[in-house]
Amino acid sequence: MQIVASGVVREHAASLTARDRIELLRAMMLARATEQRARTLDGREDDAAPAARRHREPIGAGAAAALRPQDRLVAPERFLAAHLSREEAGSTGRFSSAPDLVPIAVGVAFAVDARGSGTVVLTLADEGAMPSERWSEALALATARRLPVVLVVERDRPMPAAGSADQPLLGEAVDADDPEAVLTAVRAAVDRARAAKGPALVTCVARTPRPAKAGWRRGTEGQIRPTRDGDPHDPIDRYARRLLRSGVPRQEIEAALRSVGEGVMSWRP
Amino acid sequence: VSVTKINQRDAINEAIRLEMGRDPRVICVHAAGVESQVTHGLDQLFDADRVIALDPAERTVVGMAAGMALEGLTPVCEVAADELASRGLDQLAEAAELHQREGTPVPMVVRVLCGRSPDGQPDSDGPERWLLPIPGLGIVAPATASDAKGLLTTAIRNPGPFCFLEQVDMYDTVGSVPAGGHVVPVPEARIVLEGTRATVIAYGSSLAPAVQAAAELDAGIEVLDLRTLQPLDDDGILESVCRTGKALLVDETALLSAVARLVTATIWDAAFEHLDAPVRRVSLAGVASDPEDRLAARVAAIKDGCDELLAY
Repeated sequence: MQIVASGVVREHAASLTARDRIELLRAMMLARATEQRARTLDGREDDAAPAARRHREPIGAGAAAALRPQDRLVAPERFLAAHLSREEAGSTGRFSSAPDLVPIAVGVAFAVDARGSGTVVLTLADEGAMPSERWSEALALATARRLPVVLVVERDRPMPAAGSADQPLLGEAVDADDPEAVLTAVRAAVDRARAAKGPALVTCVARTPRPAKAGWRRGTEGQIRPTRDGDPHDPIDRYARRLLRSGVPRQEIEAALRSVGEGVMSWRP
Repeated sequence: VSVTKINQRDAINEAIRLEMGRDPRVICVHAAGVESQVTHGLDQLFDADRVIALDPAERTVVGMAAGMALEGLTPVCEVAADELASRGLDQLAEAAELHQREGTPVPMVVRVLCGRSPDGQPDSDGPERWLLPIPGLGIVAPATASDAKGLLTTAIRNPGPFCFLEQVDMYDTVGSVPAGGHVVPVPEARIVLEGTRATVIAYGSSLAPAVQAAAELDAGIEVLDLRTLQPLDDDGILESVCRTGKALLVDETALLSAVARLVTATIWDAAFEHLDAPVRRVSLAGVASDPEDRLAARVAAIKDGCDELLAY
């Protein structure tokens, strides 16, 4: 098992264009808006639970952006940004339980590896999956057969300084709120898997505190915008400000966010 | 069609072998270290990438098979009934739901080893009790060598996941089996013995004692072999029960087994006005486990049930 740690990925990819970065922002926003729209249609606008899941937006957007169209994504539907990013390439995500998903992802990797197609399988999970015996067994098989599978794990806290034999994860990992860091790390892992060097694991650690309440609300129909007293750690807000600082034109950022908001909020079942 | 006399073990082996020869996507998957009584010899006929021993995979073989099926292969894997719950039942359920809800092909077959051990003790209280509630999962339960081959072939060729309930205590049962490719339509119950006064409904290992009981009574009892538990052949069941007016369900598991409840509900829902008596059930779960007495005791239990039903 290859460990991809933050020492590698803190140096963000210089190759990312402004278009790439806006696409990352758009993917995160699309997931946010879709969840919000679903809650609105379901009469659960005050549900604060999504705020606790915001780390999954940069994880999903960044991880999926590392894939090529022929690659496979097998992930719980809670990583919505990853699935939405793969709209045309397709993904498997009906599976509700991450521990159950890892063996399935390894099975997919087994099949694509047998074809020798150079296809990589990406699967996402949260740390709750890790104590599962299925997790351990599936990873052991993937490692033994050097299958082209990449696992991305969301964690609430940094890993211990040293892993155990059962959980060989090291302390450092990428920032779960930083889609570029996730993308860079996952891309390195995907490249490694594609080169038949076996599976890789990327851990994404939520370094910022989680907000107690949602910092985003729906404005007038067709608009989604942050509240004035919004969460300063909101990954979308932070990333948008970061793009501004790096010179991405404000108009392009706003246009991307607006198009997502209008598209999703106008959708009706 | 030429016919050969072989036992169920060889009939199952033949179905897998023929399908692997017919379709290169069909593969045989098992956890390393599991000695199968059925798939012996396949590794001599096919390449290593067609007969795969996964190591380790004790708890994940079904999930991995589901992943392979999602990627276009058709894995046939083997799991003991009492271990299925801890070896991927929920992954099987997710695969079945994916197939049913979205129409995604998930062609896979799990051969579920069930039935009584050689000393007569049931090794499982019937896997159908927790398989039946899974939407989108096909379940077949052959009672003869011919049906074992035909139903397994049909399951392998189906685009959705199937469980094949394999009675290990019937492995040595010999029967006439069509040579070459042989399929049994699903769902299609089979009238084994024709009659007009009552219908005895059985499947799997409960069929043989049911047929013997009906024959010994010689009282115009029809015997129907379900063959497929999900989906049920509703039309076949109702046609027979509406004609005879009485129904007796024979089940290897407890009285309130999932199959008995499902068939009873089907009859009550659609054939109530045709019934001359309440639907009765006979469980063979508690009947003598001594191998010497088992068949006679099971036949006697079914005959008692028939007598009671006919006298109603």
